[in-house]
Amino acid sequence: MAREDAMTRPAVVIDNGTGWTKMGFARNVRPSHVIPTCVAANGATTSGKMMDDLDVAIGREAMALSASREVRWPIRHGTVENWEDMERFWQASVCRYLRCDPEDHYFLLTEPPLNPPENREYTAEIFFESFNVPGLYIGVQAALALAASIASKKQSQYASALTGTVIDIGDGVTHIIPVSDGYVLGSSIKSVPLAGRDLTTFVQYLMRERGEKIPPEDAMEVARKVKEDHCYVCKDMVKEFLAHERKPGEHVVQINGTRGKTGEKWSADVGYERFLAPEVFFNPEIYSSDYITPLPELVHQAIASSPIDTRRNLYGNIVLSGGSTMFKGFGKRIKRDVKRLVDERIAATTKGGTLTSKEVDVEVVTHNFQRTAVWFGGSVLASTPGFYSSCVSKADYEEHGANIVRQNPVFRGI
Amino acid sequence: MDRDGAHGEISRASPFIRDVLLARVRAVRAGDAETLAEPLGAHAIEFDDVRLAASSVREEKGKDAVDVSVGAPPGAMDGARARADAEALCASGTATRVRDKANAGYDLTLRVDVSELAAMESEAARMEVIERAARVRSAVYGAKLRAHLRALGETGGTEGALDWHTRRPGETMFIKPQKDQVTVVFPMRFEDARDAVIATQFLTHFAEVRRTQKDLSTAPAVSYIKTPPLELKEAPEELLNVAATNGGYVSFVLFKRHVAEDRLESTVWNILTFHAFVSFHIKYSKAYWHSRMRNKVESWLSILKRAKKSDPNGPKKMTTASGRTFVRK
Repeated sequence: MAREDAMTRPAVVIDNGTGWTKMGFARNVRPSHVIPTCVAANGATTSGKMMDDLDVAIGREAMALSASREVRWPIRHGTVENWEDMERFWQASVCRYLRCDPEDHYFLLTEPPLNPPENREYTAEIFFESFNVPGLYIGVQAALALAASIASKKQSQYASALTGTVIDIGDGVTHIIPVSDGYVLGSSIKSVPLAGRDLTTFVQYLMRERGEKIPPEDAMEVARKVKEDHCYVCKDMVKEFLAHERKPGEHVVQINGTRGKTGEKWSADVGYERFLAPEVFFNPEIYSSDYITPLPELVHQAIASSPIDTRRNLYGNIVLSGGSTMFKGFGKRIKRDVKRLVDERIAATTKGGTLTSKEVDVEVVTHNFQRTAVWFGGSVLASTPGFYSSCVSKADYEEHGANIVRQNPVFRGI
Repeated sequence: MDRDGAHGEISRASPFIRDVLLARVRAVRAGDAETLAEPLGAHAIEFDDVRLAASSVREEKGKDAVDVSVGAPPGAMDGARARADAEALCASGTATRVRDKANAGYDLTLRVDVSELAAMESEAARMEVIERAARVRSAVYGAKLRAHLRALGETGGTEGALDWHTRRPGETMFIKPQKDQVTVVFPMRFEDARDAVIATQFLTHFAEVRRTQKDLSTAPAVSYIKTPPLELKEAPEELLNVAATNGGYVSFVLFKRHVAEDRLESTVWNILTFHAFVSFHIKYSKAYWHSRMRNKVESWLSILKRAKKSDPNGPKKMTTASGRTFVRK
């Protein structure tokens, strides 16, 4: 009953993010399940009752239990902090959501850029020792996001070599990651302490200040929905303000809801926050007083600090990933602002001299799968025939021990 | 009562099918043209190599449907009976029906009319239809066992020939109809030798708890032995494969009371998923042990960090600046 045939089955792809976990099988376009990365385990480890170890709730189920149990989030800022909970989380994802036999499938997991190698070892230990997986591949999220952009229809001319700049804005953390030929340029990574959750807080703050009658217990949830459904990126903040002033009817949206406990109906207007929330990335001073570098400037800095021979390619393939890059007009605005910065810089260097410089192409790739770009990239990678041979197999693990996963073979199958 | 699945029971409804259908119904209700325009083609593999797939169909404009297909490993499905049971599953409404011909590559296909589901008034009724469609696996794979148990319920049980259900090549569940009872025997096989050891412990305990706890006295009798039980003496050698069975044999004895109309479905499902339940449980217990091991290592490390190295030359006599002496140990 040997399981050599694991290669004939699709691999399992799991992308654990700070806020959400995306999981499913390779060759799918969308993950089968997207659940919050949280665990509510039965705290009593020695109660003597049978099978307390099976009593683990994850995702929405865990959140529903928040009244009686402590709900813990094992991932902070993209990296795993609590391995106990993480192991339980993986158990429950495989056994309760995917319901597959882990011995039958290769696994593709993701890791944030600059993940310590020890974390990779822990992950391998869990997957090989307790799940007995036949093979494991741990991919860097940024590289997978690039792979996703290649596989999606729109691709720029540089895309084929897995080179580009990934702007990854998740729920908890924002990174700008230049990737060259599948290798992350670690020293050039920039991170921003603003992410999806801050935008939600900002929307909530704006609506509360204006005195919209939203029930306080739902305020966060309503703000999140407003952010997801109604926000967009404008071309110019001041002009957009004027447009809103002149024709409020065209710009203001009304939202309605019912209060959970009393059943009372409420309604609220969504106005300036529609464009002000995403504007936080471009003019951070409107939200935070200590962090004021706009995102496009940081992209420019990240690329400018990369090796000189990669820069053109990095400008030419800026890839968006993560739910908070889904705002309408986000890609265009990034493209315009970065282009402006590059042109200024070129003008400054060629000024007065006889040298001329070829114009730098700035291209931002947007696609429909941005929200689950990393997962989709993983699914694409894992469905190529070369994937199985770039995995660390169980035999390798048993022969060399956990440190075999310290090195990540970069995969160039697509 | 505990939450569904709180102790590792495997839910009858497949989360994959349920989530796919729910998302589709939600899109239709919200009039989300963008999502609906994108053709759906999702697939998954559940334990025992059962392949599931969902694909969208648009028979006519404004009418959305989803095909839910099930594919079995060779020899695992009893075609005609499975079909009849799937039809019984769909019989309660018009929103789901079994297609005459399964989609290519699969053994059975249900067509779920998403537009009709979305138009339903009551949320509960809609969920009920989705739940039922998501249980298609139970209907299809339990067909053979269900037939035996039904016969037990109707006739009270008569001696019959040994029958078996191959869950997948190399893994078989034996069914032996007897007077007043049906015995189901699982040869437990594990890929990993360590898993087999854990399973042996777990199953021994499992059988013992069933024997000794009073509140379990109405549950099916369980016995766990290392050698093939007598019921298997007519079993073909290649299916029995004694050498590969490293986890012993578990038998369940089911009586008429276990197969009453309201219990039949859950009995079938629990028996059918027993092997997966044990193997998931092994994985869970490993996680549990790992966390205890980590705690232990951490406590040892904290002791080690406090410890001081002793001097190999023995205690040393020291003198302070003022001329007093002391011995440094």
